[in-house]
Amino acid sequence: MDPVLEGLSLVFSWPALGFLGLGILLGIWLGALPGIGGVTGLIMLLPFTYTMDPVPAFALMLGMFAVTTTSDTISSVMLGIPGTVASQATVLDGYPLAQRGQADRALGAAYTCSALGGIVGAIVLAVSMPLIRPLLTSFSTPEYFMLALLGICMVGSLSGKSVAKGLVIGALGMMLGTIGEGTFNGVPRYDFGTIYLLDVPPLVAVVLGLFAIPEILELATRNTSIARVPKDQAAGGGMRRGIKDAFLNWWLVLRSSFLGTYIGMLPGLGASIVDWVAYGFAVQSTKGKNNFGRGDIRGVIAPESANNAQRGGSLVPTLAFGIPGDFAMSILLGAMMIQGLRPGAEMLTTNLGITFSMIWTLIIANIVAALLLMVIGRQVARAIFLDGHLVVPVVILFVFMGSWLGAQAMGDLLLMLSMGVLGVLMKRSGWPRPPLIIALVVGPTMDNSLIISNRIYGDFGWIDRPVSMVIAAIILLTLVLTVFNLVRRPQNPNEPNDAVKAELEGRISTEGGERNPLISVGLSCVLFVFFAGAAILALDFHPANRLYPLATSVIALGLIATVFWKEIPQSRTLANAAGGKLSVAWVQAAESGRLRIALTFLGWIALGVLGCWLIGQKLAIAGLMAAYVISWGKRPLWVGAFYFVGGFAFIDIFYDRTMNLFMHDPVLLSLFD
Amino acid sequence: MRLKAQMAGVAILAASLSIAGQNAAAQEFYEDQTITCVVPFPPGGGTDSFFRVVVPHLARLIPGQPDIVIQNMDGSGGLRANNFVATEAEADGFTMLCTPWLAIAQLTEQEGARFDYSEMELIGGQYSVDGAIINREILPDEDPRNILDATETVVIGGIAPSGQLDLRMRLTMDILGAEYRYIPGYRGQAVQLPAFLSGEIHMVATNYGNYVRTNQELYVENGPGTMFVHFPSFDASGNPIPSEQMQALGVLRVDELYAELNNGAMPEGQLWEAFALLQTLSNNMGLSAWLPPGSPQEAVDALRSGWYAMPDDPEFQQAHREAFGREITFLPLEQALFTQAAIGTVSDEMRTFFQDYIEAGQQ
Repeated sequence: MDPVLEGLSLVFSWPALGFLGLGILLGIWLGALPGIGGVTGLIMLLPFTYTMDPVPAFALMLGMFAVTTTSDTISSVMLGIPGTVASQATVLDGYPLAQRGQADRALGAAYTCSALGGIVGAIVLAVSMPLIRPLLTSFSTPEYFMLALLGICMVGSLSGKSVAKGLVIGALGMMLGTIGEGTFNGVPRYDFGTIYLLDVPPLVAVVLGLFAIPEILELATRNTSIARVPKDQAAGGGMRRGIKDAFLNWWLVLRSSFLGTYIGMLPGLGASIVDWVAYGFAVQSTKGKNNFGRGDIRGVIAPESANNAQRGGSLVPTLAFGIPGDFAMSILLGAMMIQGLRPGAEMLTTNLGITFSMIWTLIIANIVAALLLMVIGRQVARAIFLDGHLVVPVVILFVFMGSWLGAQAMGDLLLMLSMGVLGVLMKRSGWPRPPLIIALVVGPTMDNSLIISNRIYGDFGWIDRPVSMVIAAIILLTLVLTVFNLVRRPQNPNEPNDAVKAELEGRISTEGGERNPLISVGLSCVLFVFFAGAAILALDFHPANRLYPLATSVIALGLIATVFWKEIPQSRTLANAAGGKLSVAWVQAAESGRLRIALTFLGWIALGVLGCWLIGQKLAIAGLMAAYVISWGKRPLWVGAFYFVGGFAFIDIFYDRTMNLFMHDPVLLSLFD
Repeated sequence: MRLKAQMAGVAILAASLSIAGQNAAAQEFYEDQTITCVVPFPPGGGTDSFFRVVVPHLARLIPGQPDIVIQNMDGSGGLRANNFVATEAEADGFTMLCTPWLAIAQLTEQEGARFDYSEMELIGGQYSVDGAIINREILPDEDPRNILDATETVVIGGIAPSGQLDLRMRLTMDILGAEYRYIPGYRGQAVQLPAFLSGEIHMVATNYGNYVRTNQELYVENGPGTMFVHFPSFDASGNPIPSEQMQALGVLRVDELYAELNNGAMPEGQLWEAFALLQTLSNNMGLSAWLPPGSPQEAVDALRSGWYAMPDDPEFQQAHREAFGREITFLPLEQALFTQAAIGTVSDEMRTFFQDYIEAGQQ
């Protein structure tokens, strides 16, 4: 039988089809929960596949894995919190769309693009398997450095209104990536004698702290629903409009899908940056980009097409070579070994039918998930009109437990809290957050591959390698486009469109949109001290590990100086307006930035972290949820009791018993012991 | 030979340790219980995959047939999980460490290592058969015996200077007197393979299972590689033990290659002693299972009983063969205890040697 048809018949045979359905449902559920994604799902499913045949086993695992990047859009659009690492960029335009009452439109576009992107990724997987070898062998260490550099260059596109601030935050992400044992020689940096800091900070805790805490703070302090317009004034146009948007932007869908697939094929970078790169290219390569960051549907279409397509791409080196491009692929590779499947030539010859069953699984899962989510989409989208106080406690649970998934240590919660404080300050003072994430992801690759390349080829002796030069040309083009976009006059400045009006009227919050020079100067001072300290500490590092953090810190210090140069005069103007007294001006800035209530809320989160340490997560998080609903939400006691019982039960059943996480050993309990 | 004397002493110590008999208490200890198997690396890696194959069969063979769940506790190159089980986990028999034996980390007092294997309860270990693949195109006649006449300086693509496979590759080249450059930082197959295929690096380490499953096809049949040497185990007298599997592939041991290059002479001196010690510590117990210090003897007995029933269990061996392309050999308990005890007998001089050797690799 033709292997393509054989693969299809294998998927449609029983029990594979049933497991595929189960996988899709599980994937939709896991993707929708912030902080939990496809990787967690794979870890959970792996033991169940021991005794299964290969086709049902992979129908279950791939069916689940393929669709988490479809349903993760729900959290990104509805809450402004990335559902998984693959949907971080969706937040930038998806959430403002929800705030303008157009969540269903954003979801409709996202589901359609996810399905289309997933299909493109699967087709490219099918045709690329025999062709992967030349691509893979043309990429060696210098090319990985150049690719990481390209990723960093996207920072310019993600920096909102201030490229200097974006670059400083990018440098901060790069510095966080230097924490722990250097990947080159294993000598620790910035570990301060702690075991937790022997590793790079877990991405999930950083993302949840940086993005989720500021958003739930907004919900908690503004006393509103997610949508900042009344239900009857929401002019979304519904899910149908979103679907239409996707097809109208078919060229963007297609090129983002190809971009996602090919980035997915390259081991090492993968899922964590694919959405950012796709978003950055969409910003640079489309016309009429004034609305990006304010709820431009293309800002949803590009990352959502790319992140589903990436799934197919990442399977290529895994199946063809046994090279897992990312963590998820490592798990799938482990599952293949347990199933007795051997990656490589066998997957293209004797087991080609199984390979095609995987490709069909990806295609079917993407289509079915998109259709299912469209069916329930209208009901989901209605949640944006729910009272924010009822939503906040649920998100708190996922933020705390999602962060705990990082390293399952108290350090995760402290990291989430500190990133939360930083995120709030950044949001209130016009500092963009996305550059930190992309730099944290690609930073360690840059650091390591630069050292190795220079060691092997001599200092920058690798720069004339053909593929490196091609990537260098793309980097140059990216920089030129960024500068071009900066110097170009904004479109119709005197006639703001709906999105700009929404921002001006405070109906949406945009990345880097709130500009408060006095808070910004304060944050600049903190960052200045941070980078100066980091540079001084770097002087004592092992010679091989010194250059990267030292150079990054010094460059960051220079960039902060330019921020000072721009914002100190603005601060003086504000001080003059406050009668020449800086202290008065600062108090006014803090009030307009609602810093007092922000500090109170962050105090609650800090108490939650302390509670986890003292009495364990179950009691502390459930208690925090109940206390919030009663105290902030002004709800009756029975509602608080409901949240307490529900939160406790969910942590116990899902995180403790199902995921079998190590929960923190309560300090108070050990005192009694 | 100093090493032989050390090992003989350890052998006496090990011989005095009796294998506790299985008793009724051990039978009942795990009935209706759940054991958490802590794996110090992420799912999907070599360690995780091995224990995921082992665990269902181990659970079936332990008296009382408990459930065993795997919990991955990644971080700090395995130190976090080892620290956790050694110093934080309750010694109740329900938390088991399933790990590569990080003997060098303990031996060299690596930063962050807070465990002491000599205090922990060893359940069992597994032989590891490892070797190195080299780019045959830089060897005259594509023959590993011509290593000293390689057309280019051999670039070893390592993972980390303290990694036990990296140490063995470097020691091999130093023992042979071959010229090489050691470049660490190639963390995993995803970066090693493209670098090897493109000629950026010339040597990588492999274990036998990975070699026959994938690496032979990727590096040798479709790439410029050939097996260079394999790293032998050592008996209590300090003599190298041949690996039947590697011999079947026609791969020379390090000492055999040395002998070919030196008119039949055996290697000797500090480098060779260090190599032999490293092999005794890491090769004898590639992957191993441990309970926290002070765990109940019934638990130790029951787990050892299950562990050592596995090699004779056809169902387990078939699962292992399907997953890793070969049947498994477990280290006999006496030898495992001997290996465990060996770590406490290593001289300060040898510890200093390894610290300096690792530091040299970091430059």
